[in-house]
Amino acid sequence: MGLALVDQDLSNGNLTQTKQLLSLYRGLHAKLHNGSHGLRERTLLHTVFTTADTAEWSPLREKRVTLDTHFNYKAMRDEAKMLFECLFERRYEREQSLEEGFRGRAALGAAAMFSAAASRSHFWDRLFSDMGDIAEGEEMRVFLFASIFGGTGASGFPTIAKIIKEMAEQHAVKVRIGGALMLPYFEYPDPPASVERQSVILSREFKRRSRQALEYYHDLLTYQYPELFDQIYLLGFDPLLEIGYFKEGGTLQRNKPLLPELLGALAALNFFRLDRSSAPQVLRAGRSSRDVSWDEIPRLDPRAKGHDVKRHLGRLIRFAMAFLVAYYPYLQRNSYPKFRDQSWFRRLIADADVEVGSDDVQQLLSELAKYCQELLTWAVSLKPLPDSLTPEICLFDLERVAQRNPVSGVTLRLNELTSRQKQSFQRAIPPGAHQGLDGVFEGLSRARSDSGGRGLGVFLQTLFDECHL
Amino acid sequence: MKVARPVPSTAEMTKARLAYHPSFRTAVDLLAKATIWLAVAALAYLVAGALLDLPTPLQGLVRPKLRAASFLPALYQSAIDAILIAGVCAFLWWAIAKAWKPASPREALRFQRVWWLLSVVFTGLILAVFHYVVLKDAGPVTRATRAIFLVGYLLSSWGFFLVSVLALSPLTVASAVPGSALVSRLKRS
Repeated sequence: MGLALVDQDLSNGNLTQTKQLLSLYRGLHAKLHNGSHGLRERTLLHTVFTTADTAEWSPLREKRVTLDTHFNYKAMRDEAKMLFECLFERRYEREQSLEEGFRGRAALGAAAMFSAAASRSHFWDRLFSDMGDIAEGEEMRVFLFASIFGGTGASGFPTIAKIIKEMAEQHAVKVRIGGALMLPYFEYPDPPASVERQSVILSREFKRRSRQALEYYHDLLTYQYPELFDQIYLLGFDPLLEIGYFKEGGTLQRNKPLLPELLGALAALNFFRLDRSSAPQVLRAGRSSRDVSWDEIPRLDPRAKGHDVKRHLGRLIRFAMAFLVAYYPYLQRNSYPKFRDQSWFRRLIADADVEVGSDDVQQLLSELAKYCQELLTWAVSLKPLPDSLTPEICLFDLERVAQRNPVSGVTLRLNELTSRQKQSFQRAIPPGAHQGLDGVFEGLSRARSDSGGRGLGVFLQTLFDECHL
Repeated sequence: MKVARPVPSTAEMTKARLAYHPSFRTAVDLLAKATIWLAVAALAYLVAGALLDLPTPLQGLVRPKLRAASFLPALYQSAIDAILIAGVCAFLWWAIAKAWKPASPREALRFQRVWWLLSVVFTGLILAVFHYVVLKDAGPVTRATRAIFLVGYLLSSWGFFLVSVLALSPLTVASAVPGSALVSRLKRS
């Protein structure tokens, strides 16, 4: 699966965090699916993500760029200048520095994107080369995520879709485009008095902007370009979830994860699983009760027994907990010799010829631990801080292993195995309790080494299997 | 080379489902805990009976034969006692292992240490039983008979150890016990 990130604000903390996570995931995937420590196919971390040399694309890459400098306003003919002045306001649009994004002004983004897409970059080259690789009769699927109320995303959503469709026609490739449009789902406090209000977007404007944008999309998809999107998913949250801080952009902007983003990811999975014959649709996420439990989360496979998303995500979360709290500390270089005589170690590690003390194994374990910590931090952050207005989000119950602070964020408490952590493992995926860490340990001790993995993959695969719901 | 995961048989699936069924697990845990308390109470009664000279089942069983002071009945009695004690202790170990399940390698290590400690305590208890219950007021007992009983009880105290290893293997708690690696290998072969 090819992946690309579009952001005008290249220094943005959210973008940096995403790139770091992607790099961590890809490193782990390469080691656990291609190297000497193999996992079974279609299991833990099995999705392949590929990117161009640089995963991100910024439409205007010049330093201190403004719309005027990008379009070379001074060199324009008089008629062009007049048209330009009619379309864009001077102070907050034409002369505003765009290094930290389009600041919620979608019209600026659209102009910049069309112009920038004309000058080719690695981002587009990669996409078009992928189109060239599509066999006859096959189709390419592209899924776009964007907010409807922002700047880059709102402008890029239809613009990038149009560019891809046009390119696909030129390459004679059948392409299906799906997209998740994020309606307002969060809010943040107003900026301090020192920040000029006109140069930023206030969260109270989200609803008005969204309404305008939806009218635009209605017009676009009904009259102008009905076949542009094959599937559109509209996602939001009511009441708006509180972000708790204001940042104009840049490195310090690191928004906490929120539930609608998970729904967006599920929308993409749904799109990639659609039959070729499925008709275009616009789908809207909603819920039937105030609080959010697994019953409110869409399933991917309606024919599956039970809730498939809960089962898969639950197992991943439980694996992360079990690995961090019960195994990783004892697989470190100075700890593991004490446990070499235990059954699980002999069967799943020693018999698989894994040299636990070696640098590559220690590096792999440390990267996996980091990934697990990121995953658990994400799961903890999904639950809003208690508040009478905000609905309860009861997908993961990890309060016993994490401390949350509105300022410093999430701190995981997984250093030693206590009864609280054992309980948390059993009750991590509500409702009810699932197999405890003792059952997992017993399972590992009884497991056979032919789980389908190689090297350290034998142990990790077995642990992952044992963490089922 | 990638190896396909073997598909579990229906019997294996049923066994796994049953083993993880909450009510089954609760029942087994309750049984295990009850066994521990019963065994501890029985041992306490045995020791207290010896100290306070109360009648105990073991006394009634053993003494008439001991008084006969003949070699063969003593040997038989010793063997029967050894098997009985080994069986009771193995069951007790099984119950402990069911009631206290290690949840991590570190807990398993702790469990193994407690395992060794309890083994020593149990051996001491068995020797106390031997001394107070069997030999006290036993009348004239030859050195050979006394030696046979002593060896028999000592063997039985370690016999339960091996029996419990066989019963629990390949559980983690058994993995560090001498002989369990051999048992695992035999099972796998």
